[in-house]
Formats: sequence, C-alpha cells, structure tokens
Amino acid sequence: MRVEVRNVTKRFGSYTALDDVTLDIEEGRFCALLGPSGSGKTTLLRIVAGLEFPDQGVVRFAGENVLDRNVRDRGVGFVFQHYALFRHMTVFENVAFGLRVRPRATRPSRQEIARRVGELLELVQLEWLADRYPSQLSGGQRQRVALARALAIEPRILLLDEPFGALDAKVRKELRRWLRELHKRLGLTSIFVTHDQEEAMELADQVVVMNGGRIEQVGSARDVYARPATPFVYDFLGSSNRLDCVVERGWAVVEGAGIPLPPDVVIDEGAAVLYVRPEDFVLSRGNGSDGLLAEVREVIQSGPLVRIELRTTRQGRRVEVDLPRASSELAGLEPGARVAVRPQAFGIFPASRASEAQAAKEVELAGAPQS
Amino acid sequence: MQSLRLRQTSVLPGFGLTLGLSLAYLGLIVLLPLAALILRSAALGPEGFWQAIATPRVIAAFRVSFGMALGAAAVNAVFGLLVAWVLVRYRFPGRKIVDAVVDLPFALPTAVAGIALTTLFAGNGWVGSLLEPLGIRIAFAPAGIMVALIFIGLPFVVRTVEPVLQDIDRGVEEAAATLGADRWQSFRYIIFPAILPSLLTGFALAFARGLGEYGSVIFIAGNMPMISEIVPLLIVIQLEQYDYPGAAAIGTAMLAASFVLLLVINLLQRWARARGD
Amino acid sequence: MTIATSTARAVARRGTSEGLAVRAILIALALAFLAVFLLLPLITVFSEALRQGVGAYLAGISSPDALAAIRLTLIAAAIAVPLNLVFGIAASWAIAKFEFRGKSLLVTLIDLPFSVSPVIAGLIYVLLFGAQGWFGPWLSAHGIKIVFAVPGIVLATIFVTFPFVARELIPLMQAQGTEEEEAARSLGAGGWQILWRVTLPNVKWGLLYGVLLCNARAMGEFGAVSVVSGHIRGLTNTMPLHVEILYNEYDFVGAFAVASLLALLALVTLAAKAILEWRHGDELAGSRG
Repeated sequence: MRVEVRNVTKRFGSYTALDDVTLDIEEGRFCALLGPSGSGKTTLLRIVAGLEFPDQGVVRFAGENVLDRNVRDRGVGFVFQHYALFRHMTVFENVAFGLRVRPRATRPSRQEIARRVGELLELVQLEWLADRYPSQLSGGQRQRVALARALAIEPRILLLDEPFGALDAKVRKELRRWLRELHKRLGLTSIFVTHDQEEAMELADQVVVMNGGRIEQVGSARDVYARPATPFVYDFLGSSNRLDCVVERGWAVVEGAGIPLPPDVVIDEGAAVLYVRPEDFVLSRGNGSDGLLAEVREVIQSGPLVRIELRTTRQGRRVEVDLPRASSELAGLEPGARVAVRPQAFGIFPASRASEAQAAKEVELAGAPQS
Repeated sequence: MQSLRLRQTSVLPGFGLTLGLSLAYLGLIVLLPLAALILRSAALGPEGFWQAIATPRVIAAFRVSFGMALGAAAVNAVFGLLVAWVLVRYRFPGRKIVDAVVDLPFALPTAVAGIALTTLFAGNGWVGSLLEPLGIRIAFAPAGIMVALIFIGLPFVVRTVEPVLQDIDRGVEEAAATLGADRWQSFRYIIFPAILPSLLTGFALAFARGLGEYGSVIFIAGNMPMISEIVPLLIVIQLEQYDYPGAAAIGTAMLAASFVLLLVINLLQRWARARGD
Repeated sequence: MTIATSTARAVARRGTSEGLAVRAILIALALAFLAVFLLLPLITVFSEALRQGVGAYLAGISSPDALAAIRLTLIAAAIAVPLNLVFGIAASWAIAKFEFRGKSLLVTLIDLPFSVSPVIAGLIYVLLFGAQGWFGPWLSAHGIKIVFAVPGIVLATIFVTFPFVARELIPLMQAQGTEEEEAARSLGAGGWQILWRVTLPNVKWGLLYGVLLCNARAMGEFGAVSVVSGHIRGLTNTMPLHVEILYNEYDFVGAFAVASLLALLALVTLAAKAILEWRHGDELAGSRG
C-alpha cells in the first residue's frame, strides 16, 4: 500500500520536530528512516501510525487521507522500541489480543484465533513459547512476539520503531537477516526507524536520511552511499575526507592541485569543500604524478582494508585513504613515502553549506543522548 | 507545556469522560463543602470572624493544640529516627514484624487508640500506675494529649526517613572512617545532614496530623477548657450549641493552618528531592 | 575470644557500624519505645475486652446496638469504598495517561481530604445539610434527613477516604507509562477494552492495596462521623461511635469488646499490607509516607 506524506510539520512547544516533510513510499517497499537522534524520524513514524498528529500537512494511504482517523482505524501494525508487550498476558494472549478485541461482528471464532496465532508464532519461530510470559523471554524473543502481535491484525503497513535498538550485536545481526527474509515473504509495505546506518543499508530498499526535522536525501542504499546529496549525508553515512578548495573555471583547486569538475556539476566559483570517501582515492607515485601531494604517515592493517593516513605536503592536512589488501598500489608504501592522490568520485558543496553541516555534527558529537 | 488536547488528537480514549467524572466527584464531595465552610465564615465579616476566634477559650485551645502537636512531633522526630535507624541498619529477630507494627497507628481506628491509651495511662493503668507515685499525671491532663499524638504521628516520621536511610551511600561512610572519624562523627557530619530534609518532612507531617487529631485525644485529654481542650473539640462543642458561624470560623482558621502546613511540607519535600540528587 | 565477639569486633573495626554494645542499647531503646506506645495499647484492647471473661465479651459484641453499629459500619464502607475506587481509577487514568495544564493542581486537590482534620470533614457537611445549613430548609421541607442520619455518615466517610485509591494508582500508572495502552490501541482495542484488559491487570496489586487502606479508614473513621451522626443509638452509630458511647457510660468491657473487633480489622489490614508489600512490592508505587 502506497504511503504519501505531504508537507508535514510538527512542533512540540517551541521545538520543531518535523519541518515541511514530503515523502513517497511505494507499495511493498522496505523503507528506512535513518538519522541521528532528534532528526524527527520517530516523530514521522508515529505520525504515519496515528500516534501523533501533525500541525500541518497530509498523510495518505493508497490515496486516501488518513489524518481524520486515529491509530485504531488505520490498519497499521506498530512494533515499539521497547516492545510494549502486555506483561500480564502470555505470548499467546499477546498475539491474540488484536483479534480478540475486534467488534463481535468481525471477530473470528476461538478456534480461528487459535489457528491464526499458531501460524504467526510458527512464522516467528516461537510456537514453543506460547504459554510463557514476557518477563521469561529474551530480548530477541520479545521482539519477535511484538512483531507477531502486530502482524496478527493483518495490517496494511508495518511500522517499526528502532526494532533492534535494545538488543546486543549478535542478536541484532541475526534478527536483521530474519526480518529481511520475512519481508520478502510477506511483501508488506514497511517503514522502520533506525540510527544505525549499517542496519538501514542492509535491510532497506529505500533509505530516507533525515536530520533536524528535514529529509536530506531519499534513495536506494547504494545511491545514498555512493552519491550523497548533501554534506550531512556524506558525514553521517560512512566516513569521508573534507578538503577545502576553491572553484575556478570548472576546476576544484586544492593546494595547487586541480581536479576537473564534471560538466553536470553546477556550483558557484569561490570557496567550496570537497568530500571524498577513503576508498575513492587513487594513489600514484613517482615523478609526474598527478594530484594532491602528500606524505604517508601511517599504514594500518585493519581487516580486509588497509588504511593509509597521509598529511598533505603544503598544509599538513589529514587525508585518509582505504585500499583493498591485495591492491598493487600498496607495494612499498611506507611512512615517509611521497605520493599523489586523486579522487575518482567526490561531492562538492559551497563552503557555507558544508560549515553548517559540520557545526551540526559537532553538536551531535558533543553528547546528544542516543534515543 | 502542552495545552489541553482536543479529543480528536489524543491517541488514547476516555480523557473527557475520566477527567469530567473526576472533576465532578471532586467538586461535589470536596470542593463544594469546603467552599461552604469558607463562605459561611466569610459571611461573618472580618470583625465577626475575629470575634469568633479571638476569645480566650479559643486561643487557649489553639495553644494547646499547637503546643502538644509540636511536642509530640519533636518526640517522634527523635524516636522515629531511632526506630528507622534500628530497622534499616540492624538485624535482629522479629525485625520484619516490628516493621509491620510501625504502621499500626495508620490502621487502628482513632477511637480504639483513644480508649486504649486512656486505660493504659490512667492512674490505675499499667503505665499510669508506675508514673503516678512519681507525681506524673498523664491521663486527663495535657500530657495525655501529647501521648496520644505521639502514637498517631510515629509512622509519619519512620516511613519518611526509612527510604532515605536505606539509600545512603555506604561508600561515603567508609571514606569517613578511613579519614579517622568515629561513628558519632560520621553520624553527625555525614548521615544526619543527608536525612535532615526527610526528617523535617516527617516532623511536619506528624505535626500536621497532630493538629487535627480528634478521636485518639478526646478520651485521654480530660477536655478541660483553657487547659486540655483541643481545637477540634471546640468546633464540635460549637456545633452542638448550634453556633454554626462560630464553628465555621474556627474551622476556617484550622483550614488555613492546614494549607500553610501543606505548603511547608511541599517545599520540604522538594528540598529533600533536590538534595537527594 | 569466641567467634561471636571477634566477628562483632571486626565489624566495629571496619568503622561503618557501631559496636555491639551500642547497637544493643539502641535496639533496646527503640523496642521499648515501640512497646510502650504501640504494643501495650494494642494488648490493652484485648485484655480489657476479656476482663470479665469470654461470656461478657460475646455479649458485648452481640448486643442489638452493637450489631446495628456493625451493620452501619459495613454499609458505610460498602458504599464509600467502591465509589472512591471508581473515582480513583478515573482520576489516575486522566492524570497518568494524558498531558494537560493544571495536572499538579488536581493532584493537590485530591490530596486535600488527607490534610484536613476529620472534624472539619464532618463540619462541612453539617454546614451544607444541617438544620441551619445551606440546604437545611429545603431538606426539612422535603422530609429528607442527611445530617444525623445514615446518608450524612456515608458522605463523611466518603470524604475522609477520598484520596486513598487515587494516591496508590497515580504514581503507579505514571511509572508504567502509556506504551502498552498505545500498543493496544494500534491493535484495534476500544477504551473499555484497554482499561479492562491492559491497564487494570497491570495495577491490580496497587489497586488492592489502595482498597485495603481505604476500607480500614472507612470502617475506623471517628471524628468526621461523630460530627454528622447525632449519636442516635441503634440508628446512626458506627462501631467507633458505639465504642465512645459505651466508654462514656463506663461500660468498659462492652466498649473494648467492640473495639477489639476494630483492632482485629486493623491487624488483618496490616498483615495483608505486609504480604502485598513482600510479594508484590515491585508492583506497588513508592508512595509511602
């Protein structure tokens, strides 16, 4: 079922949680709302669910405006961050709840309810725990019960609020894989909120990067990683090098080295910032090398990649380059070696935009609590 | 701070119904009658009001009520702290039962407490007969009022101080010990300041309760005007004489005292909470 | 040196506990204080009741007036407790599950009956419904008696036990938050379904606790009821009032006999309280004192 969010704004007192947000989610897509805490992603999810109402804007399910309906009548399956299981009911009763509270007319019979609950518990592989209470389950098990409970009412859309946030790393990985399989099987339109980029990239068809109540970029995981649209996205997803440069006549000039700008890049002349991912550099040596001149400081073997830390010759700026372990460029690379680096792919933004993003990042690093 | 939510935009149902019901019930049972009291005494006008409460008898009653309540609360502060300390810090057989018994004054009807204490402390009672030869009269004397109020107020102090005592960081005491403090110094400089806010809160609660206490006092007090007559009794006497305005005036004065105390207690509790962080 | 004394010395040496002697004295003092002020009065009730033997005791609690008093006490409690229970649930739902201005004022007002003297509680209803009260003339014109009759007693009882259930439930429901209710809503449950199936089961021990305290107070209330009752023997006397009457007539055995029933109620309440705290302490709010 298609979801349309149009110009949604939500304020809490003087704090703007969502600022004129517009978004489309196609039927059957697995969509991730990704961003740091305070980006508005949970607020947006709750507005879609009907647990909050926007001050302005429209939300449509399959073309129909749902803002005049409350959460009970929207047919959403919501999985809460801390599960919100009914602590005094067994697993079976939790999952059956949505079916038992239906009005008489549409309520299934007891046998039918038992059958459906059994099916769902099998789906989440917990049929053997049907008589246990939530307090007797592990975190991962509770999460699966919460999911089964939400699926029991045959929702049109599945909404998950940081579903794996409270679990440890190993359980998280397993559940991620499992959720992906489940989505393939059911084909249900799903939106989930996370601040973990790895999770978003692994699970989602469509990644929505959010920051400060606004959407920074929407795209597939690949798009968002390889072609970030804003400095924030560059900073938030993966790592990147920031290089101050000057744009003149179709070239970005960094410490005397010129990098040609592709014809489709439109940017004003003047101060700008170049964003390059560590794996997007090409290293060359010897005379006649082309690119930014730098000296190798450290070569660090960390798993499948080798990280080279460089200092630029002219201004001593730090540059990080990642090379695959088997790369030929690594031959004889040692601290002190002189090299030239050229970016194969990059993003470039005017200096003003880049500094906004940097300031925001510093605030984030200074200790905003994780949600 | 959010304003009142419109019914459409609240997620959970039933706000209007529950709030309406609560306000209606509160208004009918509590607010309306209290308003009647205040209006009734306001109808006297400031002069009439003053006349009603400034008689020697009334003033004496206030003095007795306040004085005895203060004394009882003070005794409870000391012994309540002792009881709380012993319950929290020490292990001895029957500790759990003692802990439960501390709540007895909360649960026992005041009239029962009243007659029991009177019988106990009267000249021929178990305790009274021990004190009489020493010239100490408790029953049918002002001291009896204090005994009754001690009974009533004890749990307030104990239950307010206990949780705070329990939460004290033993590490601080150990640090003091390493620095050479003996137990008394540890208590005086470290433990006592930490529990002082809650002790004062308990004191204020016991005091407030003691001011308005009726049932447990009137049997043991002797109720002699000017000497051992408490304010609540005076109100009852006025009512029996159909002096509604007089009763209302005294009642309003008591209500005002209760409000002031409530405010003080709230402030103390806020202080205690702030200190606890 | 025995093990006991060496252990005691070691504990004292650690510096975070008093010596054995000091501890013994403090414990003795505390217990003595409690014995004199709490235990002895309690024992007195039973010893006085049985002073003239079991026969006299049984006669004391089964006299017609005593039985009428017991009946009235039970009626007053049977009306006041359920009413305050419903109110308590409604008020804590409104306060715990929603945000609105004036919430703390509402909580303070709910606590009001706790902090006023019981005599005031009786006084206000006399001022409203007594012969010279606001509604006095209207009531006597219609032949309705509130003050000096059962309705007045019930009203006064309701007033003094007003906050008990709410005081237990409000912090408890606030601590439990709204997530389970929101989840139930998202699954399609209606308001009553949410209350009955999700919220109330989660607070059932706090609810029981509050009802227990409410009931104990309702049955034992003296001051407020004394003012509105008129002390009409056999008609408007609750058990505490009956105790007073008998005592003032020097019928000590009779007075203490009825008092012993109330004391037993108190002990049962204390025991139930202790059991609830012991077994379900984590499901009760920390609202003591």
